[in-house]
Amino acid sequence: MKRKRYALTCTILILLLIAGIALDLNAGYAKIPLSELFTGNPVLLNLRLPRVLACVLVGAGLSLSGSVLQGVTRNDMAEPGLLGINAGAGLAIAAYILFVQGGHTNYSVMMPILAFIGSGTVFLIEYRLASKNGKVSSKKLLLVGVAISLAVSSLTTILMLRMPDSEYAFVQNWIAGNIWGADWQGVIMLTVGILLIGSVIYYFSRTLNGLMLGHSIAVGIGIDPPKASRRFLTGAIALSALCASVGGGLSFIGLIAPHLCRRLVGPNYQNLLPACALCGGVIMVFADIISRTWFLPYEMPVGITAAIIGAPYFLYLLVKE
Amino acid sequence: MNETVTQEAQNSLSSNPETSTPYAMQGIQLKIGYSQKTIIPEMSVRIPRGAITSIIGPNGCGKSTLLKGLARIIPVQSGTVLLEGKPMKDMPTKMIARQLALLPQGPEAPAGLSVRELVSFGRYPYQKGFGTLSKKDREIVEEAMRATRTDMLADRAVDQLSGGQRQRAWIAMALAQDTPIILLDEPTTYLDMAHQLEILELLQRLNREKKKTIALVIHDLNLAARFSDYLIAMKDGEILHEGTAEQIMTPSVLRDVFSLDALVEQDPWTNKPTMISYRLLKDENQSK
Repeated sequence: MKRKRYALTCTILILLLIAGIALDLNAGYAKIPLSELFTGNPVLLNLRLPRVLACVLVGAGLSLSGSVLQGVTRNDMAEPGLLGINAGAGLAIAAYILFVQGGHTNYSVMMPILAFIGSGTVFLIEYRLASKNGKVSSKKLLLVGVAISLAVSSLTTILMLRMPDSEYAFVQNWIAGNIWGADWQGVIMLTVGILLIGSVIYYFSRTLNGLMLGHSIAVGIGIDPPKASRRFLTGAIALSALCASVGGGLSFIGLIAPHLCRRLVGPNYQNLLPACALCGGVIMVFADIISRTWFLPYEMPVGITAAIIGAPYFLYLLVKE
Repeated sequence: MNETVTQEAQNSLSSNPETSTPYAMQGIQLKIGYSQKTIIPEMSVRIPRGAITSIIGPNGCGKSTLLKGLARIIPVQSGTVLLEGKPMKDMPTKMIARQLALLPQGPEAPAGLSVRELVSFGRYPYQKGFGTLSKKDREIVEEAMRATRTDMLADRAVDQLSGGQRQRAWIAMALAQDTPIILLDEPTTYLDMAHQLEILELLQRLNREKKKTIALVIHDLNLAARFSDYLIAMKDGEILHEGTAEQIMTPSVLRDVFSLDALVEQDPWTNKPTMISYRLLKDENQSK
């Protein structure tokens, strides 16, 4: 019964994802028949397809990252955006563009690594500040996260003020959550990274299940919570940093997708993780379609659309608590 | 090696005349607490094998802290915990989890987790890698649900159950761990009298039929006296008295431990000592 429902949910998500990808490929200024994908239309093949795929992958990665953060911190509102992990990545990348690339905004493989360093540093600081006697208060972590996130964003703005106008606009756009670096190189990097980290997390999903039940239960069944938490958090931050380096400051995706999935398939991580990856992809691809069609001739950064959908959902969760 | 450790343990507990340890767990000169605050300065404690042991005492006396120290939930600051005569700190935590299950106070299951899923998480210490449940795992999970009569709730969400049902589901998870020892921190708190009784009868059945060693923290003294083979009475981080219900449920012990003036009689149904009535000692002094 339960298995059937799970299979059905995943099938629906996969179908939605395929439909979303097909629609998104055609969401743009010029309409191109999808059949030209096979005849090698360069706009579809080299511009739109990698962008759409990057979008899906970023959604999947952020959703996975959020679900892991929520389980480990035992806080349903933990999420890479709200915890300021993405802001840390933003600061690191803005600094790189300004000081190393001399204001040039071409994408480089250094960026995910820098994003990871930025995200990791921010999270370590927050973790320190939110813990007392070796115990981390998950509520405090969220509050500290919001504060640090604001501080880090301000620092990023200070850096940006020193950039020439075009680069300023570019970084501004990126921080708002715009899929860039969306060439095949980016897609391959995202695919490999998410598959690798995602499978390791999935392989240890039963440990994640134990952590979700709280410190005492986890110890009782033979988990070493501090050690296990550190590993999962590193994985979650690596995932979100990778996504931030391509997708910028996307908030709320890591919050909404895991939440919806818990409703759909339950909290057991063995079911939750695959559903989260699919659901994150679906939400991002539809947010992207909205960004690219509703405001023509302009294209809005997909992060703005995600925030417009995500903020009310977050408020709803807060009120429900 | 193990024998010498056991010997040392017994030498340090000079009151123990036995040659082979009759204790499932022992704590030797334990100091337990949190980084700044020591709750238990020095304590030696023994949990007899195959018995139900209740830890009683007033609020804040360190009952839960003791249980958490024994179950490695909080690290002991000094001293040794012996599990079947072996120092626990030398054992991998997964191996400990095969011998010792713990039900903490007021555990919370995430919304939507089914009873069967929760109980199957108890198999963690036996699983490797991705951890698909083996046939044996599944049999043990079903058996744990039958023993706690949660089998008919198997597909229900734990967070939707009543207090008593939920507690039985958590006990089923501990049972699925298939350990000879189960520690429980206030398993009856927040339950009504009938459900308290139900939980304790379940524990008694597990003790008698499956030969489980059970130790629990409990507030209700009459229930503790009725169901326990051994009682440990604590106050201010120390053990004041320990022994059988007949030795502990006496007016003088209750005065020492709880500052209560208690009227104790034999319960005609259970033949166990039971408190008929009680009052605060202070009030009595004031009224005189």
